Amino acid sequence: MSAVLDVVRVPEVAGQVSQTADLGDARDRDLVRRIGQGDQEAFRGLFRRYSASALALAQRVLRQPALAEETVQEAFLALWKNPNSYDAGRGSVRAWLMSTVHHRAVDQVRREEAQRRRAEEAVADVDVDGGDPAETVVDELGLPAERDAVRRALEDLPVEQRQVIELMYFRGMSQTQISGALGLPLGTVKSRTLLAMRRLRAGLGWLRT
Amino acid sequence: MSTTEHERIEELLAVRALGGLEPNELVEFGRLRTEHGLDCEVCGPAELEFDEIAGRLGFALGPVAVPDGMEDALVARALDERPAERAPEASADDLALRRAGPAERAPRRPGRLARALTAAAAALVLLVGAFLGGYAAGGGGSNGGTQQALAGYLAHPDTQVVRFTATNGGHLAVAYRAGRDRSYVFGADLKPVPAGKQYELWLFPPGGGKPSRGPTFDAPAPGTAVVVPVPADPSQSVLMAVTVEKAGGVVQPTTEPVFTAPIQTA
Repeated sequence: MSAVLDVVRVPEVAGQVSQTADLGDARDRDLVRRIGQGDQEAFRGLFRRYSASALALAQRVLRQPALAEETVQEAFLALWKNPNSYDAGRGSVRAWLMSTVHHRAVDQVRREEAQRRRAEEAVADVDVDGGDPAETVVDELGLPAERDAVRRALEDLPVEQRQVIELMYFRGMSQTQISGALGLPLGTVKSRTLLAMRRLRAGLGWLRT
Repeated sequence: MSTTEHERIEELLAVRALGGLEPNELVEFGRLRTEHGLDCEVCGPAELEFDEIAGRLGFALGPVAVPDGMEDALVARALDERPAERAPEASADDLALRRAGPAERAPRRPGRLARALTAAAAALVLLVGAFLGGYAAGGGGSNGGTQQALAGYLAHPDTQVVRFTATNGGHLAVAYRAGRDRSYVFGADLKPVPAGKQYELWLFPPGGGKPSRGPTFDAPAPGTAVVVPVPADPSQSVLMAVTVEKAGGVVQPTTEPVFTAPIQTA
């Protein structure tokens, strides 16, 4: 994708997504506020809104459906037990929630003895997921548009940068593990990660609400 | 501030946001970040943006069907584990500890608890067990309420005790119950720190992120022990560490840890 096309495309998408993102984030913050008051329905509401995406992420990292379900439950439980752990000054509810799920999934995967085998499989299988089998059954205000935008941003990355993002984020590998798996100096892994994140930051920075 | 230094920090911020740092690298990252300056106008915004982007990367995946019953099971667990603020358990042990004193820092002078703790300092789990034995043997005294509360806490079947690995001597362990926002660090034979310094406890979140600050505490006098209440649930962390910092504590670790304890998260 050329730089010229990027300039033309991004503002169009940004307009569509930012409006729904604003609405969605306002709703999310209200749900978190109510969860802080012990509102069970608000807790259910936030779960319904993000559980399908959170479960997809956990399953992608862990590759074990039962463990993924447990990880997602623990992430939501952590919010229920300590709603103040979300700091509105540091970003959106949905990014924070997905990060919570991701961190827990990564923590789990690091413990597994099968890490080496998983890494070998991952190197030979780097892609961004395609189908949305359950898109119609989830309550996701604005999320399909955001999903498209994030996918496009990932697809726009050079292959070597996308590979590092895929291994680190979606497979839960550490920079040291990636360095070993790809036979790259650690410094190269770091620099590719930074370049990828800078590019994503430039392309998705407007998603920040 | 050099561009190279910004880039070095920014590289680590990017890797951290994606969960690519190992627990031991997180400690080093915290030290570098503090030396660089937590209020850096270049790195601060980069950190927020990277964290936001990392969170949203998960939406690139198509949603999957949520199993029937998962929501109800979650809510049932939530109602069973209500946070203390909304549904205080008001257990006898916690109430006793709250009455223990304004500093909530258990005995600095030799007492039954301290003697019992120190007697088993060669192995902290044994040390805690010795404390229980000491209490069971007599109890009472000015710290009797605290001892009783700690005994109840430690004797609870859900209480887990994890011993810290020391790099410079001393014995430290943490006792906690998953889901409870209060835990206790037990220490004995800790090396005295220089004047104007204290030990400071840190809790590192799973997968990366800034460590949460725990309390600061002093080395107990020789032959005594220290018990430090910690207003946090260690089961939500992947690692606990203790560094020596300026008295009163700092916002990020600035020195190498002298104690570390990996935690099996909930």
